[in-house]
Amino acid sequence: MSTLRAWLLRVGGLFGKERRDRDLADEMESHLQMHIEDNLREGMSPGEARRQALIKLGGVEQTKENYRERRGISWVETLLQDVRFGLRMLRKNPGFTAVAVITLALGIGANTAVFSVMNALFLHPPGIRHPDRLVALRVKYDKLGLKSIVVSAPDFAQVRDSKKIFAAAAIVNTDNDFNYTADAFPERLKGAEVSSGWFDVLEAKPILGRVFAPEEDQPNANHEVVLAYGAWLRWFGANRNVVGRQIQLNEESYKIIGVMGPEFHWPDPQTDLWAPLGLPPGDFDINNTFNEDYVALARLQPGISFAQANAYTQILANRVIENPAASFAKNAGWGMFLTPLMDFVFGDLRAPVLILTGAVALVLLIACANIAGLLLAKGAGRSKEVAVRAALGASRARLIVQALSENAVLGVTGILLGFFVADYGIKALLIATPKLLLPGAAVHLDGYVLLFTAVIGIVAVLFFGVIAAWHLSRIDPYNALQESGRSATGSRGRQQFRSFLVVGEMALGLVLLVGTGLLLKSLARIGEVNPGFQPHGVMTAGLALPQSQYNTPQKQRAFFSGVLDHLSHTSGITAVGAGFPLPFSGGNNSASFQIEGRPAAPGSPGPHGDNRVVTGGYFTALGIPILRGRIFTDADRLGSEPVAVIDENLAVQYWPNQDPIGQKIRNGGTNTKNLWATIVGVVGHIRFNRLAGEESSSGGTQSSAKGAYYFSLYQQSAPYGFFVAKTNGDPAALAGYIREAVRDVDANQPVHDLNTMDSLIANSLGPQRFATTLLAVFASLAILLAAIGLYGLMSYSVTQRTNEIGIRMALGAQRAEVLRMVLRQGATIAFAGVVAGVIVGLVLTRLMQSLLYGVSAADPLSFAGAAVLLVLVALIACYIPARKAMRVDPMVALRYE
Amino acid sequence: MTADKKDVWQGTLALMVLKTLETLGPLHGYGIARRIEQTSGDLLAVNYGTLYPALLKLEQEGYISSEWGVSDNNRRAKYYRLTRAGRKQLEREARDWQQTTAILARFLTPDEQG
Repeated sequence: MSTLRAWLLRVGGLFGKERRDRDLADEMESHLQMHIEDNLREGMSPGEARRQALIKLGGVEQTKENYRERRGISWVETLLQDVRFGLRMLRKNPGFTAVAVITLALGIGANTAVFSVMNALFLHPPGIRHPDRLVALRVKYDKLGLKSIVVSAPDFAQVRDSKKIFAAAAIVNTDNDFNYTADAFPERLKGAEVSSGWFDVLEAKPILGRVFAPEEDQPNANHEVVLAYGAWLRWFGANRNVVGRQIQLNEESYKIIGVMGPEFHWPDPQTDLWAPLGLPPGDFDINNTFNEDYVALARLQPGISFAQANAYTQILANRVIENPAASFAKNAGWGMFLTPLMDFVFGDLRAPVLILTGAVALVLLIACANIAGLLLAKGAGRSKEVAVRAALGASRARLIVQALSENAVLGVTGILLGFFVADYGIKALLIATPKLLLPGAAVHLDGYVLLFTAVIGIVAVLFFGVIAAWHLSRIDPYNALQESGRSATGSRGRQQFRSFLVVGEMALGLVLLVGTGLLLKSLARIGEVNPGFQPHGVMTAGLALPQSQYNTPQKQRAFFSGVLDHLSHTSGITAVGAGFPLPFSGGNNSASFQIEGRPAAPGSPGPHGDNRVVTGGYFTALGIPILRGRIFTDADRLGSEPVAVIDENLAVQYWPNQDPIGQKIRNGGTNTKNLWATIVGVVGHIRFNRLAGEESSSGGTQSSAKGAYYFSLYQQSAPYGFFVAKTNGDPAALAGYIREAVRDVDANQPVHDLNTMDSLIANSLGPQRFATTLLAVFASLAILLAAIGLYGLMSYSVTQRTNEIGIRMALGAQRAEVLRMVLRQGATIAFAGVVAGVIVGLVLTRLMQSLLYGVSAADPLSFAGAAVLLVLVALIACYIPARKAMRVDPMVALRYE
Repeated sequence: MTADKKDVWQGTLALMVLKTLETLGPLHGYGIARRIEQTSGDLLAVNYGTLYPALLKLEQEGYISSEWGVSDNNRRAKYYRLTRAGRKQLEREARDWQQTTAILARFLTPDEQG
């Protein structure tokens, strides 16, 4: 108890120092006086009395020091003292402080920004409590080259019913948007139709009302919606009485039963509302197993690992194909598997974000090296002070701690400023990136990001603080105190160390430059890829026709042909068409078909291709080349002979030695009721969703060589579609015409997703663009910092060598020679940096290979270009110090110590 | 198990201070120092400066209290006095020391039966 009391009093002893110091001084003075009096009484002379008393008392300062140590908590006091001293030092050197703080802030800010993106996407996605417990269910058809696509209702049911493995499961259909009519103008609300377990899987609770109950997930009982927070604010004015209200969606009445919180917007950040999927029981029939339409998610039971659940899913799949009725699936290599949800949603971005994380780490390293260099330079001026401290008994540890505490002030300021940098950086980033890129990600500075920033701030301070302090503490006090100016050996070692730091910075800067060059080249290569059609000057628009109003193919056809008619008579539009899916808008339907007279061999899955439904104008407007035969005309409608058009790849794959024109195909399996369609033409193959690499299809991936077959829009059911219109001028101008044409035919149908084809293709390059832009920014930052570092080093060196330069000039050296001398020094460092950078770069760029297209990670052109750029920047950085050297007046220099 | 010499010294010094205050009543630092020197028979040529941190420690632990007063010679001096807790601590420590010395005496005395 007494120890505790003692400690508390010691904490209190940190305050009121002056008063207590005076107290002690008084006490000791009184002690001395009493002793002196006693001595005088014993007969000593006044001088002797005082002397004896002082000797007996012992070292007054030592006593005071021991007392002080006992009184407070000495290390805290020392720390505070160091920090105060550090602040004073920083105030006295505003130039140094500004450069150091800004450098640190940029380094830390960049890291914070990238980390917050990584945090929001992979570590702690907002709106999801336990991201690592969530999985997506996927289907593959190995023999058809379909690697990962959506699932069917029976697949989902299997997972949903395996309660031991999956705590909850749900499916979603995102193809459904709703036409909301409250006022004169119909609004288009983005909707997601979900099964009743959706909110349970994602552990999301509504802020108003409730979410769907299982009974409401039925075909007839499903006229209810849950609103998203954003929609609630925007369309309903955050009215708390909105629960229970009826609204008109797609000309039908729906009841609002709940509102979700601001953090939750899965599956899509633009989701406005959720409606129950309401699948009829028939959809869950085992025969429907291979009609895949939905994205399925599940949450694992606690204690079940991902590997266990995945293995279990495959067992489920194996059981399904044991059924002889599933022979097609077996032959096609059908299977089910799981993917972690975050990988499924953001998998594309994982590689770019990781690379950017590495890049900003390098930037921070460069920033710290710069600051270390600055500290070393500043420290040179304080070498005498440090020598005195060392001579007075400060251990190396003490010197290092003192240096670190001074730098802590720098660090804290840098961290705080770094937050601002990160905040603005993220805002700029979100504005610059297309919305399609970060679905479901609200990147902001949350607790984890703050923690991360504090940690790297501390690490950074330790890094440059220790480097500088360690170097300073190596001072030999004897020499340092005798040092008269520049000739001490310590300063040469310091200079060499600084040069080493700058070489390192240049090397890292080169690595980042090379990386940027590789990505730029890669982006250019992808951009050169011919998609197989002509995207320039094409405007696209999409819409969905509500079932209540357009429930027959005739009505649908009337709508489409009405709009197309209108548009084809608009001046400026050279070609117009309609159909679905649209290239580069995320859709693609893979399906099995039959060829007449060629039944599928047993054990083989049969012909497979991408199924599209279009008008003839679709081909013309998009500029898809017609290779043989003809494309659809207005004559190809319901009632006339069913026709089809196939693409080159399909023709080569299934009719390698004969003319496909005249052959007949139809959708579906052997028992289908579909009519045979005659092939009337062959068109060129086009890239449909990705310019490079694998194609995407049915929510997953497939081989890019898969062929496509087209049916006429007017011979099929078409509840939704896209318009494509071609102009020779600016396609953006066509948006108005399309809207007008649709309005003329049916004023209640809002047109959505108006995009030029060029912008759709550009958006598909989202991840690469994102990575390239950011890497370029970081590389520029790195080079700037390295240049500053080199400038500082050269500037200091010139100042150091002023004496020497003066002597040389006095001995007859020309200014040009002096210039060469300085530049040579700078160039040596630059070249060393280039060499080191090339070596490190060759190792590190291998990590980027997955992002590169048509470029090797060791591309010599990129390396050479980066090296040249680096040397140029280095020469510019040396320019001012070189000029200063040239301007040295020998008379002044010789007197300069 | 060798305790730090400084700690042992501080411990004995503290005990001596407490005992001095018990015997002589409230006393200033100089007086305590002279008394300890006297009592220990000048064996301990104590550096008077070491007393003050020790006095502070005792005060922080609550065994003594301090107060500015006036000495016999009308000089202003800080007087220390024993607190009740200090009195108890003195009893405890004195007892411990006596036990220790008794045990050690038995050990260090040559064995009669040897």
